[in-house]
Amino acid sequence: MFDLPQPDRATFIDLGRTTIRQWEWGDPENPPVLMIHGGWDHGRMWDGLAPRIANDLQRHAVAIDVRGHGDSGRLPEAGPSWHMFILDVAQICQRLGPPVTLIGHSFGGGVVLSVVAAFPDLIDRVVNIDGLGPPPEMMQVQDHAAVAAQWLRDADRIHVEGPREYESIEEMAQKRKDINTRLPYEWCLHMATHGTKRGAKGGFTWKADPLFRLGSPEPFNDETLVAQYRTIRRPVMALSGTEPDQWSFLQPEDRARRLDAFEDAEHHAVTGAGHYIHVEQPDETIRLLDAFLQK
Amino acid sequence: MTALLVIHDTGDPKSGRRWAGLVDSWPDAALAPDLPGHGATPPPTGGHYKAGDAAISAWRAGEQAGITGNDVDVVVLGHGWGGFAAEVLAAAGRASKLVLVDGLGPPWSSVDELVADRHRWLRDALADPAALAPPTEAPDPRLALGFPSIWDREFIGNLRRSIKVPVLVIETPASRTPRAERDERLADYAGEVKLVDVGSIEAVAAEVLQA
Repeated sequence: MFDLPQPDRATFIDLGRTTIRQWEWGDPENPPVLMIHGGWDHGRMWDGLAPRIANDLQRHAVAIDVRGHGDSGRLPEAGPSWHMFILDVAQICQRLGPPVTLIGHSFGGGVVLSVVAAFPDLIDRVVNIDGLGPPPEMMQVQDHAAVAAQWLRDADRIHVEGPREYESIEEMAQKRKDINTRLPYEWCLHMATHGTKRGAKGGFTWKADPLFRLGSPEPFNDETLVAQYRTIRRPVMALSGTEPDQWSFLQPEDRARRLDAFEDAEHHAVTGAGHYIHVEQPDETIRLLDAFLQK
Repeated sequence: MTALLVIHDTGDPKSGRRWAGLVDSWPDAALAPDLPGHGATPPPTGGHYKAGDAAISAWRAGEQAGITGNDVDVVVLGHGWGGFAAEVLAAAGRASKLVLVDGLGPPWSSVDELVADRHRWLRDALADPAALAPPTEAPDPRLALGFPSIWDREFIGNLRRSIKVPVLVIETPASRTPRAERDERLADYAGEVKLVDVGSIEAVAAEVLQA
């Protein structure tokens, strides 16, 4: 039986230029732990872990829908910007009351590392769940002309077509199941239940902004990623899964090299997990998190 | 028909109007739109800008005016940060000629400097109430922060090597490109390149029309 409790509070945070959906569990007087979901997901993907962080670990557990996801504000017409996400999260941290512990999954893992790198005064430590970046070869862009052309074409297409509509939420859950094969179907259904809305033609669309897929030409590669990791001055705990999975493409030697860049990092390979470590192995995740928070 | 699309500099208080003389004198269709957050054009959704996003907003303004689209030759001129957006359009095969006005870029950033500049930009933004508040004036105060450096030697070099159309480079005394690095930067373009020095930004239009 898949029966997750609702968040204790659901609010919207006005950041001035956008609005961010915030989900909360536990006593707001406890030290804050802010969770950042992966790309195309939303804050309710923490529904399993967050109540345990609030109750077992006595923290103020907070998850947001990242801009362009869930119920939060939409993306600029030219697509997402990394700095925009970092600034959003830094503003949320200011409101929660520093220092904040950050937990990020996948894309969100990259976000939390960028936040702690730029704003060490707001953050006390960071947990990165299978989010140490794509493999170096995937980041090595040889053909910037192709990236530029693709960016403009995709932006044109999304501008004209709008979001795709599906007939049912179950169909959309199955779409995610086809991609994230290790993620249990009930979690895919949870993702779709909270991650979709009615479309203009009567069907269902993902809440995630289709503009999130846009990638513009930028100087971002393995070298800049490692250089950024070298600037981080707070403890980092990185979790990876032992099982092959979608979006878990980083080879052990590349992971080791990136982990070496941190001043203070611990890494745990979690047995019996793929990409969604906190969903697949919540007990082990909580155990590791408890030890890391007491460090 | 050869149209002209002008991408003005980021944060330029004159915005598109700076190029009104050139647009009026151009023998064919021409447009210098106010980019989002400038002049009368509203900011982008969510009020955040990134380097090169003008490639999309300027192109779309051009489409609405009927001067960009399939099978139309268009000269794309970019000024300052607008130069990067113009280069992106040229790299994507959407320009028949490229004109860069003070667009070759400042001194190169090392990898560590790129990271440091991103952090500087983020801290400046978080500390600037006008950059975070809903924009009520034009140019949007957020634009005064500019963008974090994109001036990585390898990245820009790769992008420029994919630009095959003729390039006219116009430098004014306001250019931030070190003189000693100009030749090396011009050599990156795959096609024909011409460099012209002018005494001021006001002299640019006449040079463009002549070329």
